[in-house]
Amino acid sequence: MKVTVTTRSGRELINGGLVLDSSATVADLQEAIHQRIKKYHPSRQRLTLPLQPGSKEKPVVLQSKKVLKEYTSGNSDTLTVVFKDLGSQVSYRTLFFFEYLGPLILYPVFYYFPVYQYFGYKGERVIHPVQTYAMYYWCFHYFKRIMETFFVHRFSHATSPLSNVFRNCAYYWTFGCYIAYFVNHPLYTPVNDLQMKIGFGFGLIMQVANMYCHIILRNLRSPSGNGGYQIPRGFLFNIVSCANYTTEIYQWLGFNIATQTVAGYIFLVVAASIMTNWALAKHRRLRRLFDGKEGRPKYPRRWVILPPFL
Amino acid sequence: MTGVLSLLRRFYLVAYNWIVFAGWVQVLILALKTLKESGHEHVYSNVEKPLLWAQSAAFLEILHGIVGLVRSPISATLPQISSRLYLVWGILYSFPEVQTHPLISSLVISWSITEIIRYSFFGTKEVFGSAPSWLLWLRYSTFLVLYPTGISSEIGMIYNALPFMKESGLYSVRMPNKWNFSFDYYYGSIVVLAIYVPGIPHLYGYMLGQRKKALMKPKKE
Repeated sequence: MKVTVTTRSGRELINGGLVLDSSATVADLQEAIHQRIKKYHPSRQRLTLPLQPGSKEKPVVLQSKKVLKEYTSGNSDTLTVVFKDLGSQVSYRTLFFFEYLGPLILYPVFYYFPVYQYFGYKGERVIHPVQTYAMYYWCFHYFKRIMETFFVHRFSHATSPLSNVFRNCAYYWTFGCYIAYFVNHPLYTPVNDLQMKIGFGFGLIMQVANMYCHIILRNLRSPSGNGGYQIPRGFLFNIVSCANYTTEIYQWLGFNIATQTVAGYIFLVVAASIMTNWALAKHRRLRRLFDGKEGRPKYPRRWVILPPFL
Repeated sequence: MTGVLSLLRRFYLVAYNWIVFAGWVQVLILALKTLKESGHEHVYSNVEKPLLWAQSAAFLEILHGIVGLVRSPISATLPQISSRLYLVWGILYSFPEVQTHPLISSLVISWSITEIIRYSFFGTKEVFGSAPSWLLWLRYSTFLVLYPTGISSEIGMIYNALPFMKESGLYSVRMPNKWNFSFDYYYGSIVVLAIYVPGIPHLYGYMLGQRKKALMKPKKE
């Protein structure tokens, strides 16, 4: 099979094209491109079928597990693919690990070390019980996230652009320090005991629920699979598309009810809006994929992320 | 029905752009007059009213973007207008000690020339459907000089106000309080100064790109 590889502007990326076995897969093609141009590791390559000029449709992305023959029309033994370089990539596991490691390590620094003397607060610090529980709660949360990253999640894509490492770490690490600064502050004012218990109790229940949601999502994908989407069912997914985000938002709400800081609530609002954007995209994608036509199931009516609002 | 709405929209935008244009003309004339007759120490007190007024009116432009009255993305207008409002209300108005500084003259003159050109450009476009090519050229060329002069005046004035922020504790929230929140206007302003560092090349680069696009197109537009 002869494969012609062009860039999006039309020139040939590899002069004369490549010759591959007729049973070759897309992954084989990606490897062949990588062999010719060392810099383009397979995970950086986005290969699509050429579109008619002026076509408004979204291009068909070649999936690595599929056989190249599937993308040729009719009996043709030739194929033209369009190449896009996605830039340096990093595995999702690596990305998540580093973005979560920051809060896990930095928060306890504010708790255990005499950090506040550098902000001008000399003298002894009285530590309230809620501050200790908050530190345990926070660290458990990020430890849970790291564990889920390595043992639970099955990612739809293997990699993410390298630039996301800087952007995501800035977000998590900055907010982590911002919140840790106030909760562990020498002039911190605790809420009453009941409110603290309600906050942490509710938060813990939501963390467990969130973990269960992640397990349900994991079981929708096969281990060797290449991502893909199924209709999530069971537990809270019967009511809301992105129950995993819902439980995560409520979990932070629990933390904030117990610790009561403006910084924590700002983080809650920002995190909730980011997750809402993701949830809207996911909900739309599921509704588009499962349209009830040609034997496909129809996506059931559900809340997107936060009943009764959205 | 849409004909009437579209006419109303045009009428409103014509009024808005030319009224605010007049405000900035007033600022420029008063500033130059004061410099000639009394000296730079008196510029602020003479331009204060039209300046506060004309600059604050720009807040409406954020609403225009949200409502869809104009096409400008709010991601571009929001930082620009926020920084102007911060300078005018958060620095100049709030700290009388800095109101006699010479940088106020360069600030106010840079801003007013830029705004006079910008508002007349949009005002003319709304009235006639297009703006004359010399006005287009001015809009996309004067920034080459006025951005450096304006921005360095802004940075200078923020820097001048810093000691008075620290001393007065204005706009700051202290702990302990039941929301466990504190905010230090002094340190916040230092963060703003830090943002200028990457902000300037980004903004200037963006304007250079816009200039290329606007001035390369056939003069018909």
